[in-house]
Formats: sequence, C-alpha cells, structure tokens
Amino acid sequence: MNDEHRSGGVPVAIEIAITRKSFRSASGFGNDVLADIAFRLETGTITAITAPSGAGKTTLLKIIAGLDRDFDGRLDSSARRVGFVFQEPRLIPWRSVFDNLRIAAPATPTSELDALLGTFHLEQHRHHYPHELSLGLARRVAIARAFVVHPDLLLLDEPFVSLDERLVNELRQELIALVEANRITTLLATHDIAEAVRIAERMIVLDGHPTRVVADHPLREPRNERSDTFVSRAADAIRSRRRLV
Amino acid sequence: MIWRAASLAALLILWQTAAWLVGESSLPSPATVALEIMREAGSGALAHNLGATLARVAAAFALAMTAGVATGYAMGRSPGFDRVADPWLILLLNLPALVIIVLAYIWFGLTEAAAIGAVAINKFPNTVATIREGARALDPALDEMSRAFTFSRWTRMRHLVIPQLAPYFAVAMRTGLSLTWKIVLVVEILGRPNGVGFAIGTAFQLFDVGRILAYALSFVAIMLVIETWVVQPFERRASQWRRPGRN
Repeated sequence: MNDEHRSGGVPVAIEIAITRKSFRSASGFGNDVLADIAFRLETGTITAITAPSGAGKTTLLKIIAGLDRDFDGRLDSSARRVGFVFQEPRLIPWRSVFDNLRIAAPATPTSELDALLGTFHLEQHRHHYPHELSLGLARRVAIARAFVVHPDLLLLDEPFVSLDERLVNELRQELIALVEANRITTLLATHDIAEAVRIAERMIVLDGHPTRVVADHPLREPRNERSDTFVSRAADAIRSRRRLV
Repeated sequence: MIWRAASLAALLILWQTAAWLVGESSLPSPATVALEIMREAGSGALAHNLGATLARVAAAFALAMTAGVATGYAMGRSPGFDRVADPWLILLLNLPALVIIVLAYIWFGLTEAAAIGAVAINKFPNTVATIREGARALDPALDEMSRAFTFSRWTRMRHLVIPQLAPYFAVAMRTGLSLTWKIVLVVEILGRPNGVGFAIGTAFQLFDVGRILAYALSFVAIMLVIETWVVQPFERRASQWRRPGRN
C-alpha cells in the first residue's frame, strides 16, 4: 500500500512477485504450478496474460485478486474494489439478471443499473434467471457485474472463450470503451494470442513447468489502428519467440 | 389435488371393507370414528387435547430447528468442529427416544419444560445431519465469487447461503414435523395430564379403538393441513427460480 507513487511519479496499482505457488496433491506431494512471476500493472492500462490452457492463469488471477494467499512471494495491491469476470459466469442462479447486478453493488441507484444493462444490450433480459440465458448473454451479465462495483482493478479470465466471432468483436469494443472511459487497471487472461494482441497495451507470455514469465511485450500501436494483418503478424512473432524458450 | 382426494377415498373404502370383515370392536368403521370425533369435539375435549399437543409440537419443533440449523451449519462449514461434534451427533442419533424422555422426566420432573426439551433433543440430531449435508454442498465457486466482490456477511447469507440451504431446510421441516408429533405422543402418555397422547393412553386402558382412531386421525388431519398450506408452498417458493417460462 506504500507504493502509490513509485518509478518517477507513475502511480502503480498492483505489484506482484510470486517466487513459488504449489498445490499439494492427494498423495501429499507438492506440485509447483507457478514460479518466478513478477510484474506490475500500471494504472489504467490493459495487460494481457497468455499461457497455454492449464498453465495456471486462473490461479494467478486469484492470487492477484487476493482470493488465494497461500503462495511464496508478495502482492502489493492498492486496489480497493475488484471486478472479477470468472471463466464460468458464476451468476447467482436463483436471482434475476437485474438482482445479480444489484447484489454485487447494493448502493447503486436503479437508473445506473438500467444504464449498465443498456450498455451491454441486456434490457430485455432484466428479469430473466441465469439458466434462461445463453452462454454469451450470461458472460455479458458477468462483465456488467464486474463494472457495477466501479472496480479499480478488473480481472478477466478467458472472457471470450467459446463465443462466436461477431459477439466477441462486439463485447471487446464494449469492454475497451468502458475500461478507457474509467481508466481501470485491467488484466486479461487468455490462451488466444491474437485476442490479446487486439486488446492489450502490454502482453505477458507465460510458459514452462512450473509456469514462469517467458516474454513481456509492450504493444505501442494504438488499439484502433491495429489492422488484422498487424494482429496476425504480431501474434506470429510472439508465437515464434515462445517456441524458442 | 384430484389425485390426492381419489387416493384418500380409496383408503376409506379399504378401511370400510376391513371393518366389515373383522368387526366393529376391533376396527370401527369410518362412520363410527366420525361420530366419535364429533362427540369429543362437542364436549370440548378434542380441541383441548389437540391444542395442547399442537403447542408442544410447535415449541419442540421450533427449538430443535433453531438449534439444529445453527449447529448443522457450523459443522458443515468447519471441519474441525465437525470432527469434535460428530461422535456426539452419532450418539444422539442412536439414543432411543424413550431413553431421552424417561431420563428427562427423572432428572427434571414431570414438567412441561422436561417434556418439550426431551422432544426437541430427539428431533435435534436429524436437523443437524440434514443441514450439515446442505452446508457441505454449498457451491465453492459462488463462495469465491462473493469473496472477490466482497459481499457483506448479510448479503452472503441472504442471497447465497439461505437459498442453497432452503431445500435441506424443507426436508428437515417435513421429516421433523411427523417425527416431532409422534414423539410428543410418547411424552404425553408417560407424564402429561392432557394432549392427544394422554387421551390415547386413557382410551388404551379401556380398549376404546374408536377413540384412539378419532384422536389419531384428527391430528393427522391437522398435520396434512400444515403440510399442504405451509411446507409445500415453502418448497415451491424455494425452487421457483428453476422453473422456466415465468415471463
């Protein structure tokens, strides 16, 4: 909490340094999943973490959210409100879409909740229950819920996986607009490198056993100027570098 | 509702046939029992005894449910507490109702408090076991979500825990009501001067099968009403969100 102003006056929201994170298996042996992962997230930027499936991205996000404190290392976080979009939407099944938002931020006026439903095109689903929604709609509600708490840290765990491309494009635009408007420090975990290149200002590539940081790329091209060719070229470059490790 | 009525009608026919076969003194016919109910109701004895039993059932049930839900939830959530309390629970589950009742009367006298307390202690371990099952089955993914979004304790209880425990609560309620009233009768026959159990005890000494059935059926009717108008609506409410097409 003492790192509000470091490195030449640039405010640092989150600084994470994991020396080791292991899970104990049923037979009692420790299994290291993460090692030597250290980076910091600058305020108001979108950082993408890419790693193969099953490499511990979700574990890393939980540590950064403060949900898992059982690791060697340290977490300096000045984030007071965390918006977490889990890989499965994790909505409350017995509460309506509207109530799911309201329960996350009880003090929010109804007009603001309705505005947020509008932003994510969910007005017609206000009174629906989560099991009545498609996966794409449920994801939207989960993302809306993450914004309703006015997060200063937004964590997204594979938010676009198994959605069709048109929906992904739409959802990505909405997400970027909201993050930029509110200067929210954002961390996006994905296994899709091209996806990460489209959305992020910085990419951290994780790989290996146990998983560690193998590359850390800034993406300086402004987001709206990233053409499809740029995206595929950048993604190829990152993929080929990963193979060298 | 129609099926329920038809099923009850079939039971009445079966009963009438059996009464013809074995004779009125062993098994009085439905009409005889109905007359008996009317006579007891007319004298005021029926209302007096039903009221006494119902009050005991309500008190013992409320006591056992409150303590049982709290203990069961704590045991379901805390493995340490569960390890310590589990042997006690097994002991209580297997202690015969009669032993608890007799001991309560010996230790605390033939009092109302001893009677209600003994019934509550009999019902308590069932509630604990049922609610513990529910508390163990709470969805860890939702729990993690609530921690990420820093839900208040009250929000967590109201929107996550209670809705997930509601079906288990309904089971505890349903099994609890019938168990409680059966044990209340034993308590009454052994040491209370009123109630359905007391009335049946008196009728037993006179081999008055008609009165025994009159009291038993009157009370079953009351329980049926509670089941239909209290327990079932509660269960429906608890599972309402599952049903599609509400809009």
